[in-house]
Amino acid sequence: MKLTDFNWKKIAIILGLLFIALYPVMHGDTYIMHIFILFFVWALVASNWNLLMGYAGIFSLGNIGYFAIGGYISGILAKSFGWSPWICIFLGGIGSMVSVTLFVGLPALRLSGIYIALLSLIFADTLPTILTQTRSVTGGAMGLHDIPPLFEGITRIHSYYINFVLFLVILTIIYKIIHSSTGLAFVALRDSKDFAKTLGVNEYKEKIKVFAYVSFLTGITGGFYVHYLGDISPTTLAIEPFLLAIAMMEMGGIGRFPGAVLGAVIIVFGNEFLRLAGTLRLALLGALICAIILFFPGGLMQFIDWIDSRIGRLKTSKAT
Amino acid sequence: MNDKYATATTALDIQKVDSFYGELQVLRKASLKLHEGEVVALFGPNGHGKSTLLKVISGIHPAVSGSIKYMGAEIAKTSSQKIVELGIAYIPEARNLFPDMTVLENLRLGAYNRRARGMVGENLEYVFALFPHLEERKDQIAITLSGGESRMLAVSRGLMSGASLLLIDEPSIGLSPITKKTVFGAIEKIKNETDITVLIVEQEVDNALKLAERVYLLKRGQVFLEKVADEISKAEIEKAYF
Repeated sequence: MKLTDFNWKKIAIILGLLFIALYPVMHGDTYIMHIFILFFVWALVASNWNLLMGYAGIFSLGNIGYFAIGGYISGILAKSFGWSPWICIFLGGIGSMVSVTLFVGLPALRLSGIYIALLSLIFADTLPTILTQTRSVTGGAMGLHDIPPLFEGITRIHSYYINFVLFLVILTIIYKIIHSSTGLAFVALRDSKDFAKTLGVNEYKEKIKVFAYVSFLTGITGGFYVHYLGDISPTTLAIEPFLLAIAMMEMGGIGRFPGAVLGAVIIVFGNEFLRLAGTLRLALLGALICAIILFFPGGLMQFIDWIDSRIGRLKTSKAT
Repeated sequence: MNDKYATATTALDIQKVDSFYGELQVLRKASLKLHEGEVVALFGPNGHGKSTLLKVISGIHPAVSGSIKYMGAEIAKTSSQKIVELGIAYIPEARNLFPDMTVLENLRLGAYNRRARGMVGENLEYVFALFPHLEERKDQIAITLSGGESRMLAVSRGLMSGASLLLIDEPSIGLSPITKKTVFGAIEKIKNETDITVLIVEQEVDNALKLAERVYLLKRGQVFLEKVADEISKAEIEKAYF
């Protein structure tokens, strides 16, 4: 390999992952580890959302709902039947996939644009009502507590590495989907539906597929999240997590692969450390989002492209 | 009809096709026939239904009445995905690439249909052998290609679907005379080196007339003239436009 084959982005990714992998050994502050776990989870939620919204161009606003369904199903099953949380998480993913594909995916075949956004938002919005009506099972507005952990005697470090592996696995799956013929078909349908069809792309099949993938992966992430935290309540479905997840996507760059992960770094860590600023927290975050969107409408990924072009120019001017 | 065509099998047989945009009738009992492996040019003035006919064949726009037979099977009511799988590739005129995808991704998308998916490797080799230029640029984003290159990519993507019938809509539109030559050179390669049937729709007569074996003229939605290409001159076709 030549020296010029190394690019700074690859090096940054490798260093970043190494840092995350070694953090518990090097420093191992339990509070920081907790924030890292939140980052893993939200980065996955936002990346899945990005697959649906950025790549497939389907304006879904219900993704926090898909996340909560996975979490609730897994938590309820593990708590009431005492099944292994690993199986419950998988079932939660399936539950999320089936309900989302049935109630959002299928109707979405006949809808487009803003109407899918409304439908998916309504879907997510009915969940708190359903939860309060089924208090005996779901805990209602109080939430579901004492959800068993993944295994007895689990420590923060265990949770950290389990969620880190989940983070890597699901991101790899998303990356593979984006670069498969299915992912290309999503983008083709987004950019020009009629034209994609002339290439033989089956619109209905691909739309159902993207809903199924995204809701399954988001549901599983929800499962891991509740078994880590030990509880979940309808506040998950409130406006703040919803806006923060959208902000992660916007900041990272919609329709760009690792974008949502970068957005999640800034939002999750920013959100935690700005607690020092008290009530100004959301205002500061908002200002940061505005600044990024103002100067780099394509999000952080556009900022990275900009640095890239600068480096490219430097290299050519040196060479001549 | 010429003796040459007496024995050839009919690839595409269009009989009395009517098609509308809302109330407006665009195709009026349009009929034409393609034999296997031949290159046919369909000329006609702007706005008289040439592109619509291609869209009707490829199933994007519905035919209200009439029959379209491909290899003997009726496809007038078949969905566009199925038609691609049957081996008909439609190459639209302008804006026919996915601009943010790389050359390779555009090609892979061409092989999306079930039949072609297993042959991506072979078809890629074949396309790159036909257009070595594309291989050099395979990781380039499609929007950065020149006009001629992107037209060539569009044709290659049609080939990636494993098509045996290419419907090419105005390959020369918006190109400089030199790039037009390159694009038609590419189509000539397909004509000489493969047994793919090609239907070219053109407004401009020059290049397509040299390449085609037979010529149809479409005016006000009707096919009103059919000639072997050698028997008609550019002036005659252009006279018929008005």
